[in-house]
Amino acid sequence: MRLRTTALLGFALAGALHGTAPLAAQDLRVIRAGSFINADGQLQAEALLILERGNIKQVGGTAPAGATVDEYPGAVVAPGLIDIHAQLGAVDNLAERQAALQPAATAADAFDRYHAHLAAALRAGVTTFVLAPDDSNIVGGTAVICQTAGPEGKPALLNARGPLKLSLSPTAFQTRREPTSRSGALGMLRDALAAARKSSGVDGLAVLRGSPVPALITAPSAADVLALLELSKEFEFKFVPLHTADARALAGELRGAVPGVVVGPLNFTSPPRLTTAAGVLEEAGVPVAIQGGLPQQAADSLRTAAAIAARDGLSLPAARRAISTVPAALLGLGERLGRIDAGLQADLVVFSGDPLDLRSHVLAVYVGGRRVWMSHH
Amino acid sequence: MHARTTAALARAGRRQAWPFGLLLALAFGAPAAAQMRSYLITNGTVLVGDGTRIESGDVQFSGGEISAVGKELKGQLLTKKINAKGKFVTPGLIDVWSSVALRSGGGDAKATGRAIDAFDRFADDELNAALHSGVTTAFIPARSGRALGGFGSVVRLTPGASRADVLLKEEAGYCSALGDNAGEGPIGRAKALRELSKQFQAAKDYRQALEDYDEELKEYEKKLKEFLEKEAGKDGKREGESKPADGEKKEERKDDRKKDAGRKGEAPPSDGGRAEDKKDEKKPEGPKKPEAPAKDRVSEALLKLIEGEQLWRVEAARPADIQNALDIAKAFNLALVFDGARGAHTLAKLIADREIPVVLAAPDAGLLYTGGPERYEDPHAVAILKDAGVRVFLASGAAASRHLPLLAAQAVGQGFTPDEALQRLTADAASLLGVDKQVGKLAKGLSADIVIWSDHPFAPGARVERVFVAGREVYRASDQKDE
Repeated sequence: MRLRTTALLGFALAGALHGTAPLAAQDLRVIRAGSFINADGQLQAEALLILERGNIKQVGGTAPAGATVDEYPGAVVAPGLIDIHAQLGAVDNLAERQAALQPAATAADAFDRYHAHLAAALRAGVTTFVLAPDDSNIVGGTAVICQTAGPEGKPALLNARGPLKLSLSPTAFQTRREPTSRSGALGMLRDALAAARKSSGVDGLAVLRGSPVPALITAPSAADVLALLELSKEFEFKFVPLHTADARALAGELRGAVPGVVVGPLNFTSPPRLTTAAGVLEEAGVPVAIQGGLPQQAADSLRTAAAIAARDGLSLPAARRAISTVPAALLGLGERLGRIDAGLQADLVVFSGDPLDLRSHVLAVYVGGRRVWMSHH
Repeated sequence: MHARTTAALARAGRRQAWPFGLLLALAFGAPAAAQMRSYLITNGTVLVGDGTRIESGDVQFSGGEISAVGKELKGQLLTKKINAKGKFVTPGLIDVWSSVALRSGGGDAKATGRAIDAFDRFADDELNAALHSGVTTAFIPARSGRALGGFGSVVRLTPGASRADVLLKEEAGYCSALGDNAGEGPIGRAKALRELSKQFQAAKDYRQALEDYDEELKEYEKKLKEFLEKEAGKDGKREGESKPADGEKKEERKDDRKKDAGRKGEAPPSDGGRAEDKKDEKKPEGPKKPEAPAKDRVSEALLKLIEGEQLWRVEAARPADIQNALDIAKAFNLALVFDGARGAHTLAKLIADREIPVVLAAPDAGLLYTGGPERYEDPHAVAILKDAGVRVFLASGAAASRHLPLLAAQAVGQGFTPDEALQRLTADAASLLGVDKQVGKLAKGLSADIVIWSDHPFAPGARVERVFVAGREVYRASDQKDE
């Protein structure tokens, strides 16, 4: 009896001590590679990143003695890719279509962390994505920000309070319930915003006003965007348009009026007016984020879309930022994700070359400083 | 006054005539001069197209043809020099399967149409978009979705050119689409396959019928000759027995006899003479002329495949269709090329053993399982096929030729070397399409289809700066100034 108690006490003590052990050099991890993508989206030579407790401690300098060094000669370290609008693992589960206004709904309830597509996205370098309600409702609900590999190495929610998702897409105009047309939709939206302004609720619409995180709104045509600009001024909220077919035509008007525009999904059959939109927006001074087409398109659709936009006018640094820095900023996570800089979370993807170079492929993925996947090539 | 004015005008006219005449000469002469214009591109990284690379290389061309490729070439008089320092110079890229400027159709109801008839050579936007990506030549299929589609054509992508200038090869392959009819089910597919086999067999029978007809025709002609000779001989013999003069004489004698008889009071001789008897005799029938087989244009088209004159380009929707195509090709000894064979990677070894080239476009592969033939798509199809030893080509397929360099870059990520991938878009593509005497390489005597890039075509930031087709500048990026 005594022996057992002693043994138990001994184990407990050992466990307690282990948890409070001081930080040793071996808790640091160092990545050394050919080059990395800096905060401006440029390729910078001599990548040496020191990671500590899940964050990037230092960029550049020398590796501390005794630290584990992961070597990737000739490779490029990029910030973990962020897909600002995806339906990974939750297609067809992302809307309650009975009523077009669902401000209290949240995509968190549809998040399936065991879905195989999440692993496929991770292997393609996507470390963070926004799971957003789809376009069936005018006010779809709150989108959630997810990681394809969380602290336990499994997919996890990063932030359940993501941007609000709205939609003026024709799929929201249904015959069985309101609205059935765009004018009906705008009317409903206006009424809902007015009601939310008066109420003291805490649902998505109520907190929209003055929120630092802009709403994501599907606005297929220029007219939708202009109508939303009016509403946003009247009800004092910020928004980011998605899926705008005529984004090019609006470039001048959008500058300064929206915190950014989401371009995509793009693939090899997208028409020029979509693939050249990103370049035109950049020239007009509008921040551009690019979304992939997950899961309807292939796992690497995010970086293929960026490469296509880069071929058709978007500058290379802006294209690299469009799948990392800009989405992070639009989600209000600019101080935590999306850049390789001291103090930010160590979500990193090591590519065999420039991520915009379709000849390159993913070598390794780190989330929160841990290597969660490595290629076997 | 009228006369004076006219005279004055005439004098004035003569004074102004010669500058006007000069202007006319220049106006007409200038385009002709531009055609004949000679260019010399200097100091670029020249990628010849067959794997050779020339650092600080020069390319000279005039009159539509490349005259020299090498280093330190000397320009001729009136040669326009283009400094390509820091740039890459390649042959115009060739898209071996593209829908650029292709309007619906491309095959008429009788399945003997030509894709060139559906090619809209006035679609400047699409053509310029292709030139913007460095693509100067394309094979456009007769896309019909049917088992017998029609002939695909090889075209030059030159905005505003005449049909003759655009057409590089009118019949460059016979196109079939197998299994495209969704919802047919397995029975429908089996039926379609049997129909197709029957068509090919009918073509062979038609050939046999034509050959038989030829034989019969020769026989007939021989017999006819003999018959005519025999007839002529017979007539000659009869004539020998009773020559016309004798016959007349005989008639005279008959008449004389009649007269004599009449004078004498006797009845005229009763026999009408052997001549009448001979007239009543039946004429012998000549040999019967054989009937030609009815003209069968579909069989004529398919015979070009059977006789190896044309490639058989098959779009197969799924592995079962691929196997069907392989079987038919084997049975009729056809030169098969797969265009976008979905699921070909599952039959990679079989295709490699039969040495059949496979042309792949960008995979349609999403992560979602759809249950349709899309489930056979695989983003690694290129790698799997290449590893098995299949000759893989990269093309645009149902898209216009706007992203060919990106597709090729993706292929490099899947196991091609950059040189191999570029070669597939130039020299190898030209060989496949049978136009390697005209395009596909930067070599003396070939058409001056040349592209100048700001960087290696597969590098992320590479931009096409200038494009020449047949020695004429057809595209220039907006930021390129004249030197």
